[in-house]
Amino acid sequence: MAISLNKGGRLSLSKEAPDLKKALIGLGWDPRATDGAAFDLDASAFLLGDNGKVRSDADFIFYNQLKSADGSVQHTGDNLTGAGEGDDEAILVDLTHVPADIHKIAFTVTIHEADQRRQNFGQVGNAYIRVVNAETNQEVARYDLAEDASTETAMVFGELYRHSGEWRFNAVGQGYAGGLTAMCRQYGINI
Amino acid sequence: MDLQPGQNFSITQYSSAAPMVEIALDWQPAQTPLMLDSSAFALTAAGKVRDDGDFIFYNQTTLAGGGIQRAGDGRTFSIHFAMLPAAIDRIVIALTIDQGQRRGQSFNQLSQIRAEIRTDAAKSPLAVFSLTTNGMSETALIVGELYRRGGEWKFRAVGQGFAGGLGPLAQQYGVDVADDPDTASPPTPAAPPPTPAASPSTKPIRLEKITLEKKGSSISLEKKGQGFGELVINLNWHQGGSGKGFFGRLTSRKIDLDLGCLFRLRDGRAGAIQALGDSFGSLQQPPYIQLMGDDRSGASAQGEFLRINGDRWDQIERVAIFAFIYEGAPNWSETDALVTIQTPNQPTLEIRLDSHRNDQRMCALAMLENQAGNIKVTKLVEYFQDHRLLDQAYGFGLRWVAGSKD
Repeated sequence: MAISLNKGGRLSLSKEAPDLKKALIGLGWDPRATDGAAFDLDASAFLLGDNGKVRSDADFIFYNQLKSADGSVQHTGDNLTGAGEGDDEAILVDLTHVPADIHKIAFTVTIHEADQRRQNFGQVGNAYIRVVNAETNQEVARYDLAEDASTETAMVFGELYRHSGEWRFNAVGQGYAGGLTAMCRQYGINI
Repeated sequence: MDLQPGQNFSITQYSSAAPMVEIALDWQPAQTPLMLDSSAFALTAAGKVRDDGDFIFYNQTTLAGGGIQRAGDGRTFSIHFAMLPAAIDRIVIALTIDQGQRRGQSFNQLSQIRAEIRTDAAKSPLAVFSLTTNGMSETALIVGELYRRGGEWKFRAVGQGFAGGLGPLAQQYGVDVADDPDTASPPTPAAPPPTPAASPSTKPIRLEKITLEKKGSSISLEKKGQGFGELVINLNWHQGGSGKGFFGRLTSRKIDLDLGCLFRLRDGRAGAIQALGDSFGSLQQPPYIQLMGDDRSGASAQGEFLRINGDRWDQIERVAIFAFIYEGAPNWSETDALVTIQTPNQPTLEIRLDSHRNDQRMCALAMLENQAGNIKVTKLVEYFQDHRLLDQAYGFGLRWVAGSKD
């Protein structure tokens, strides 16, 4: 049973998913049935050191850079419309192979060109982001974007972070002004 | 609370005891050449209707069981939660422009659409959704949706256009549509199809509004079950006022049309229903016909309404509906007036005032006759100088004295 997250809720993976080794961050939404520009939601991951910044731009995993240098974080690719069953985009994280100097991995979801297209999560059909244990296919946490973040256009979904030798998940669920560009700057990406 | 597109709120949390909500639609400018139609789609969790009975629109105004009711003026939906089947998960409210594509119209011609979500028309609404429609090229608009979530009912403001008009929209939700007036070949003045509102589960649903084109053409609405419900007769017209240029300003004045009728009951009683002389009638008492309040300011964008209690149709012999220009020069040709007759779960009938005669003050619009319990509607559009001459022409046999509304 997936945990329905509240903003800022912390989740001990050792408690909720003690055997989580491979985490899948899944992002899904329905293709647009109505007129207008398609809804294009993007999932991204930032690999962060203990200063809360990336080591280099190579630590930003997104639609134009699908794999981290060591291969421990992998993006399945950009889905431009939300067509298809199940998760439309996914980022797979092999927690056992994440470099030791990476302390935190932040996951974000943004609407591509949200301002120009005047779109928000609430206008997208059935939009969600979730954490799944990739080995057991068990859902660990989920955030229903269309429902609970309906007026937002960008969100820090959550963070996987190291704590006393284990990985934990912090369900941030925080709307974010400025979209992907602003998020990149905050995490130390040169844009 | 003001909603922005995409935003949702819990009706249950907001008003826990509310057994029902009303969704009332409105638009600016109020005076528009667009003919706007509202509809509701009751959908299952799969996002489709169960059958065509779940499509509530001008030709089918209630959901079986009464969970959704569309008001006679087509601007308000009443949703009674307890009466909704458990299988209904979502109710989508849409506005479409009648024959919008064929006429080259779009929501760009409006400035704003407004939806009020309320539990009581007399109280302030729970939420208001205002949508700027400038720049919208569509002829269909999904305004919002009511949906179940975690044991609650919620409303989401959508405000998204849809390619195509009512037909394609209905098909998208799984309605089996027999005809699409927006894409069909231009209307033929032939006799209208005599089969109103087919049984929804067996035959595709008809979107057509039946237009009585020629004088003397008629259609019979067949009685189904108990009675006809409430017939709503609307007269709407261009009220003038914004003529362009010098001559426009000189000649374009506000035109005030009054709607009324002469009636004869089965028991021989006869009379007139009209604002003149304050004869507004009654729905529950004879003559079972009522004129809704006369708006002399001309501010009412919907025009004038006459209602007939169709469950008492057995008491009524015939009704002659007329329009009257009380003040100013009779200028019928500028009014572009349209009469619509809406009867629950019957096709909507339309009669346009054509073949104008600007030397006469009255126009007999339509005759409703009781024929073996059915309602035979005949287009008249005959012009008369006054009530007495109209009465004589149709033989109601009333006594006439001059009156004033003021």
